[in-house]
Amino acid sequence: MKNMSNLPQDLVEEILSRVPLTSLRAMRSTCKKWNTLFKDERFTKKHIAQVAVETTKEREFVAIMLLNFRAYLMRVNLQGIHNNSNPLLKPIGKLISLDTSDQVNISRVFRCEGLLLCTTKDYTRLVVWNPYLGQTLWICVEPRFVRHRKFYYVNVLGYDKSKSCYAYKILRFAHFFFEKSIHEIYELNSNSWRVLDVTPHWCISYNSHSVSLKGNTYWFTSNLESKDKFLELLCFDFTTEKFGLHLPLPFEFYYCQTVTLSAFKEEQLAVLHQSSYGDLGMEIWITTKIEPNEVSWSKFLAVYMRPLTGFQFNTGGSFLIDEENRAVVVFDTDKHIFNPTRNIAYIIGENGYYREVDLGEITTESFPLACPYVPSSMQINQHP
Amino acid sequence: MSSNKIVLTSSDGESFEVEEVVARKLQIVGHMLEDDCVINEIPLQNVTGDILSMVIEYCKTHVDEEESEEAQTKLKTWDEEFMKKFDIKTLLQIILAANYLNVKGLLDLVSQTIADTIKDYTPEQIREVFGVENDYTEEEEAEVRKENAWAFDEADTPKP
Repeated sequence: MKNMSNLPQDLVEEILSRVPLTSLRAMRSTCKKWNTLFKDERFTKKHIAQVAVETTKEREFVAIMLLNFRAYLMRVNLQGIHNNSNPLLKPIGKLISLDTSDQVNISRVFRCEGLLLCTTKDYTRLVVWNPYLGQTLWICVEPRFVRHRKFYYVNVLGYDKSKSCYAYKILRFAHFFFEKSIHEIYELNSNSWRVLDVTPHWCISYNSHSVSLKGNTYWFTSNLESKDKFLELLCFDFTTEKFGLHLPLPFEFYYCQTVTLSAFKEEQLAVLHQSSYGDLGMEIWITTKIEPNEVSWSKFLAVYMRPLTGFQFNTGGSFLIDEENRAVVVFDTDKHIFNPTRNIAYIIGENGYYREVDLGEITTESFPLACPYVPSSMQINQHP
Repeated sequence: MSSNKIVLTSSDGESFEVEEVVARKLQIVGHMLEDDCVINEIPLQNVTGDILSMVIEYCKTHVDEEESEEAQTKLKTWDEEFMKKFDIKTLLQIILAANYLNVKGLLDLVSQTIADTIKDYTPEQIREVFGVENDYTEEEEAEVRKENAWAFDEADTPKP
C-alpha cells in the first residue's frame, strides 16, 4: 500500500494542521516525530490558526460546557437564527481520562485563556489543564474545617505579567462572616501555598461566577459595609496580588435579581442582569473598556423574558454571546424551577428570537455551565 | 481567454486534451506556458493517467470560480461528492499530484479530506496508512499516555 512515508514533510504538516482538536492524542501517540511536531511552536501556531479559520468559515465558535459534573467541548453555531433552521449546540468531545483511577467528575471549570482550572467533584484535587497540549498539573487539596464545619475555597487561575514568561498562580479564598477570611496564592512553579494579607469588607460567595481577563480575575461581590451598594464588580490583579477598586455596573441592582458574568471575545467582560418581577426584563452589557480599576459599558441586548420563559434564571445562568448573530445562549435548568428535570440552553436574540435546546436529563445536583474556549499552546509552568 | 487546446501527457503515456484555461489551473502548466507560449503538448512525469484525469476533472469544475454565495455553495457540494469517491490510498496519491501540479484549491481540499478521514483512526491505523513506524519504547509509550492523560474525546458525547 502506498503510504505517507512517501509524502514530503510539508504535506504531512499540511494534513496534520487540519486535524480537529479531539484527535490530537491519537496523533501524538503515533510516533515520536509527530509528538514533537504537536509540541513545536511553529506548527501549533499553524494548527491553531487553521482551527480558527474553520470555525470562522462555519461562522461558529467553540465553548466548554459542564453538564452533570462532566466537561464537554462544544460547537456553537447560531446561523440557523436567520433562516429558521435549528441552531446547533453540538458536543464534539467529552473529557475522558486514560487512567481509570483518575477523577473526571468536575464540579468547577475556570478558564484562563487556553488553560482550564478544574476542581474535582470530591474536592480532593485541582487540575490545571491545557486541553490543546494535553498537559495537566495536579494539586492535592482539601476543604478547610472551621469550627468543625467544612468550607470550600473559591479557586481561580491567573498570571503575573511582570515576568518575562507568564508565571501562573492560583488564588484561593474562603470568606467567613465569623472568622478572618483566608486568601492564599499557589505559584505553579513553587509548589506551595502562601498566605496573602487581605481584610475584605466584602464577600464573594462560592457560587459566584468569576471570569478571567488578561490574566486577572473579575467577580461580583456583596459589599458588607455600604448600605446603598449591595453588589459590585471587583478585580484581583495577579501581578500586584491585590484586589482593585470596586467597579461600577451599568444598572441598578436589587436584592433577588439575577446577575452573571461571562467573557466576551478574549478581552471583554459581559454581564447578564435580569429583574425578578414584572416583565422579567433581561439586559446583556459588554465592556468597552476594562482595567483592574476602570470600566465602561455598552448595552448588547435587552429582552422582556416574561412572555418567553416566564421565569427568572435561577442557577446563575451562565451564558455565551454570539456577536455576529446578535444573540445569547443562557444555560439553566427547565422552567419547572422548583423541580427541574432537564438542562436547557435558552437562545435569545434580536427581534423576538427565542429557542430552547434540550441538553438532556439532570442526573446530578449540579447546574449547567459554559464558557467560550479558544485553544492555545501556552505551556503550564512545570516544576523546576 | 483563448480557447486554445493543450495536451497533457501522464507518466504512463495517457494523453488528455484540455482547454488552455483548464490547463492553466495546474500552475506548473501555467508557468510553462508563460515561459514559452508555443507549447501545446506538455509531459507530466510525476503523475499517472488515472490520477491526472481526476485532477483535470477538478480543474474543469473549478475553471470559473464565481463569487456569488450560490455558486460557492454549489461548488462546495460538488467538492464533497467528488472526495467521497476516493479511498485513503487514492487520496494520498491525489495530494502528491496536487502538490506536484500545484493546484492550490485541490491541495487544500484533499488535505482537509485526509484529516477528516484519519481523525477517528487509532494510532495503529494511522501508522499503517501513513507508513509511520512506532518508535516508542514501552516506557516512552507509557510516558506519552501519562502526558496526555486528559483529553476531550469524540466518543460518548451526548446527542441532544
